[in-house]
Amino acid sequence: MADSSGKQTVRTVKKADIILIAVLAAVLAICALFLAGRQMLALPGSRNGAQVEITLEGETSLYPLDQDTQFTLTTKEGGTNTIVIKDGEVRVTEADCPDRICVTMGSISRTGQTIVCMPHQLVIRIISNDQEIDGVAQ
Amino acid sequence: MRDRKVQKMVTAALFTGAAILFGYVETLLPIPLPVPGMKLGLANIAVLAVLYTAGPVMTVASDLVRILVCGLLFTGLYGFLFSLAGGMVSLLVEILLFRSRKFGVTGVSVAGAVAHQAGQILVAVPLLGSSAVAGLFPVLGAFAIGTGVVIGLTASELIRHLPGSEKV
Repeated sequence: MADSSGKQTVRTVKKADIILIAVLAAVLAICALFLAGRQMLALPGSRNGAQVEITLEGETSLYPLDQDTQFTLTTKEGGTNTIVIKDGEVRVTEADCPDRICVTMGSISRTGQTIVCMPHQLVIRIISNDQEIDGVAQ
Repeated sequence: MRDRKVQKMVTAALFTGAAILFGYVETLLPIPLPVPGMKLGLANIAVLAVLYTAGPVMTVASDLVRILVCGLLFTGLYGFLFSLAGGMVSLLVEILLFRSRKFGVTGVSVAGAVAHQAGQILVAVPLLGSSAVAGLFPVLGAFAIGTGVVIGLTASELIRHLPGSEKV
């Protein structure tokens, strides 16, 4: 790469950088494959009696995934998220958080999948009845 | 000698201002990124510029000011906690790699970006009371590698033109 100061040729990307990036990418890919594998093996939640685990500001409650319902959660500061459980899928349809990422994330239906709303400290996760096995054993 | 110290402080102050502006620019992005915690990390350009021109101490000071001001102005309490955790883990990694002198700006940038996401998740798990967010790490990390490369190349180009910078 030509150096405008004319003093020396500067290599902005060293060999060590490329190795570092490759190692990081490999580690992330392994994590991703592991998670994807678990999700692929998991059956759609409604078939194995999965539940919707909702953690709002550290407090957890459970709802059956196979019963259609709609409700609005309110945080201590008055923030709201409207959650719809329908046809074995969960999604956030309405939210007054600043980024509305929870709405953008769409619907989830498989065990292990999550919807997160950071500003409201809300995590929605689908868990199977026998939580530890996560459907892999089936 | 004294002049050099003043120069370092002025550089750090200038880039702290730039970093706060970058934080504002990121809130203006028209397309919301689909995963919580995902961001471009423009402020990392300023962090790297200060690191390579004014050294680690100034970088820590500059970044703390940035995170505090951005927290007060744009991101709110939880945004502040996330960027504080991410920022400090990221800085630690970047300073160590910078000191090792084995890596270029791009490598330091990428490692810092990935470390930022790891730091955010470390805080998110107890804060949200759910380990589910840890599953976001591969997506966030992969995105961070991409932004880290772009930010790193941009920063190295900038640093080459700054007075008093270490050879990049």
